[in-house]
Amino acid sequence: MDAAASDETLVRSTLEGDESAFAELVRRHKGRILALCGNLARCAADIDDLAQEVFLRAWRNLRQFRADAPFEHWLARIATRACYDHIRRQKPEPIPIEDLPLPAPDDSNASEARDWIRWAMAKLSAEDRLVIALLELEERSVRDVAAMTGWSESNVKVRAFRARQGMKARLESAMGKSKGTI
Amino acid sequence: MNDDQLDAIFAKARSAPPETGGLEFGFETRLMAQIRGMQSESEGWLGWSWRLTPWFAALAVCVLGAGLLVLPEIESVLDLGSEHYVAMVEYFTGESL
Repeated sequence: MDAAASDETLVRSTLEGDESAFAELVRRHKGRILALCGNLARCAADIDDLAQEVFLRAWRNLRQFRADAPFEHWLARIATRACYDHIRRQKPEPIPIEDLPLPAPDDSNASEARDWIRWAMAKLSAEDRLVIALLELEERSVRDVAAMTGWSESNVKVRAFRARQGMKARLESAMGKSKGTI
Repeated sequence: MNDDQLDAIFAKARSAPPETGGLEFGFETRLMAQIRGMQSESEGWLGWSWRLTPWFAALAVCVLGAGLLVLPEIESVLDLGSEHYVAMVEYFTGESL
């Protein structure tokens, strides 16, 4: 398969029965999809399952792809929907604070900060977690998030505001405590 | 905690993205194997349904034959039923049909 072919050409080749064209599409986009799934899934096995689910959905619905927008945007919408379904199915699993790194959230290093963010996001609703992951961890714009989720821009802003308030309160309470489950 | 502090924690978290490099290895190979498995499974069902076609055809012939055998009896029952129905309508409406 020609590595220089456009995504649209690869989609057409896939629909004509060329499996290697779809493998090339997966090769091109797996990094971003795995990163997105990594911001929402709990463990490596979940990330892998979720990313596989994203590409399976894309493969099943490839005939619905209209080349009026880049393939990447179409795939990102599928990934967002799959991530949303995944976090809605997850049972809330509060993480005991003793499982977290000891430095306070504002004194933590990068990987500790990620653990604190994960801990603070654990109590948010599925919708709010999705918005925070896309806006704050993926650094997408409000317009992008609205397009990816199908929600209005004002809805995204309201959810982001509410989620941030919840996370601030939770992190603030953690800053004053050393051990014990919150 | 204020917004700036939260933003600082988010910025730090972004600088340590989730480690997915290991998952990328062989990802498309596993995915394509899964797709091929799904395809062969659906083709398997399709093949079986084609192989069962003669049996379904024979069953349809049997049902049709049985239907033709009992049809006269059903017709007589229906005739009897229609007489009763006409009588009932005439009784309730007072009109002769």
